[in-house]
Amino acid sequence: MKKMFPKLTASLAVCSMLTSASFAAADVIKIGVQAPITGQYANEGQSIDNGVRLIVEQYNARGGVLGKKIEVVTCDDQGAAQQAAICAKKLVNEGVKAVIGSYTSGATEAAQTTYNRAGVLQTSDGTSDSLIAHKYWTFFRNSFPNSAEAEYTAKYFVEGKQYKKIVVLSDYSSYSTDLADATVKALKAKNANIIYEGKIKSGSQNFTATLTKIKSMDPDVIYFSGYYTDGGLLRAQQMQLGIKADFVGGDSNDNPDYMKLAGESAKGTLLINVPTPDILPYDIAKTFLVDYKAKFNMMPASIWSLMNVDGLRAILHVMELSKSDDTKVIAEGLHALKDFPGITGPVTFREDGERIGGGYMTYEVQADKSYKIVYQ
Amino acid sequence: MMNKTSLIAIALLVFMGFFPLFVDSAWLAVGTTFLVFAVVALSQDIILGRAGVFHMGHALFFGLGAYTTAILNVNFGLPILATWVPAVLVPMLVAFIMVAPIIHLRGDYLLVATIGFNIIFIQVLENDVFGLTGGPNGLFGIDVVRVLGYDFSSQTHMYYMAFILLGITLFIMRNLDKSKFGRAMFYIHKDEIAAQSMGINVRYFKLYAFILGAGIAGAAGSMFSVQYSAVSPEAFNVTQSIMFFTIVLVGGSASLPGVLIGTFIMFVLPEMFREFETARYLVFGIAMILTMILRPRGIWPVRFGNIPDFLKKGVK
Repeated sequence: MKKMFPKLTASLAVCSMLTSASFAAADVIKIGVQAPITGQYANEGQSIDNGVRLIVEQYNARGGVLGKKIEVVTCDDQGAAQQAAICAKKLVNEGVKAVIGSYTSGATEAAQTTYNRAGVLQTSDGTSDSLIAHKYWTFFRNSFPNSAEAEYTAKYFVEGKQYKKIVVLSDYSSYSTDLADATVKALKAKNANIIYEGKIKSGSQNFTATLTKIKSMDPDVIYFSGYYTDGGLLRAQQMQLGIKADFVGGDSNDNPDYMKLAGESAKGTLLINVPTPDILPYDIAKTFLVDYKAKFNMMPASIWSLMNVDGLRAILHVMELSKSDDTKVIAEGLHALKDFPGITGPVTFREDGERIGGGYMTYEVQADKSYKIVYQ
Repeated sequence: MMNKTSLIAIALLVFMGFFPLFVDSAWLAVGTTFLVFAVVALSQDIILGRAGVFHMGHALFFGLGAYTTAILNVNFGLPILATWVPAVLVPMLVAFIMVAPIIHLRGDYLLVATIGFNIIFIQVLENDVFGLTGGPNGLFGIDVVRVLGYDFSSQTHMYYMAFILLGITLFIMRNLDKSKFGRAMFYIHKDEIAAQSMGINVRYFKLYAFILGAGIAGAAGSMFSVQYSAVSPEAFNVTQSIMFFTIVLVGGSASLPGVLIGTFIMFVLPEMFREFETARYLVFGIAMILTMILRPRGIWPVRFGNIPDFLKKGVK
């Protein structure tokens, strides 16, 4: 037993040290980042973290916000729901005012309840319509919902391309299922002919079984509503099997890694998304991209990290405007915001936290992996 | 008369009881995680350490408890309080149905079977059976504990609920050690054939250990789902089961301090040194190898069996 006491006192001393450390940190404003820093969506997650840190650095150089320095606390949710829930607990306990992220709708949704209970603001690029179903006052979507993309896709398929036989594929994630469901609904409203609706398991690498089944149906188009990690492989395997259908990827396929995974087969892919970072027409976007490139020596992974950055910018803007770091006040301020100039266009939030707007485009991937706008 | 294990248990309870007074909510959350996982590790210890059954699917029972609470609350709107009893009973029932036919398997054969059950469990969850489990995403938005209009949602409340659960678990284990059941398990662990020839019903006691361990793990799972208000399949996969298995082996089978040290190394150290979080499997892997070579009976092995005092007297 004697040996136990030094251990106990030592651990008590450690605890008290940690407590005093957290008191000393009270004169900063903490902003959380919940993003997939590792795992299959790592490049999107790191891009969100980079973007947030860049904006915070710029703010701190000007003296911070409300006279306090801003501190970024990052938690890696690995794009997985359970880890996201654990991150949410961690960030809340760290005392953050607002959380930027996560990248996937599933990880965002898993964390939502915890943030709402703690009164911590959350802004995410998750596009799943279910994210605003709870009408949490703490949640602000900084991208556009799946239903908007689905409407656009249906219009493009029926009026633009006039496809006769449509295949819709998704994975099991909340984002992908939600986008596929919304697209199918929009297509049916336009009396389109959907010959197959299927699901693939994200990360399973080999999709030939599903694709062979599809081949026998001789479709005009394969629409995939999942993420780039599977999309790239799907496209490559489609070409290997010689399925002569167009491949249309939903917004989450728009990522440099899609091109790497699809390789030669990437050529001819049609991608539906909001504008890519490099063709954003706004001055603010151009300056941000120059700064980003200077600091990190690469471009952001996709438009999604910029959407998240806009969420952060809106929150910091309202903090300064309302001279308050009370999350209730900030939430009211965010709802009152009208056409706040963002990197990805004007930012306006609806009462349920939805960002108003849209503006999708279709890009055709060229042989040199560059994009050509084919439908607007 | 108190033995060393009881003293350690009491010291731990006193320390953990006052812990919230000294720390902020971030550390309180770490403490809660420790308490919940300590309970799971102890329940694994009942099966693996005490009864000596090679069981590598414990995340299954932990997950069953978590999912029972989540499904009853999210899909059927039951208050959390009402889900506690099912969250203990369902894993116990499943343990009985699942394990009874295979309990006669020995060592490695049983181990493989339990891994199989764990894999099936994850498949069932991911395929969203009856539309209840939410597929690979899991279930979100689990409520907090509410009693008569008060909600126990703060981290301190969560901590003390987990603390009480650990207290109950330690109490059960103490009683187990002193009872006929505990002794029977100990004999089975030491020498199954000898135990059998002494008239101990090996199947019955092994099954008893399984069902008890499953129930306790289920209670911890229920606590886990409320703490994070979300459950998802990847938290209950085979890797987690392996983790619980190794915690017991590395810490020391049937040794209370051993199991607690194992839990501490696996779940608390990574929190303290957050920058090394990704290295934890590396560290734990090396620790596992070194422990097995240098201390094959665990970091803090049990030094005595439950040999009654009157027998020990003569030996001295």
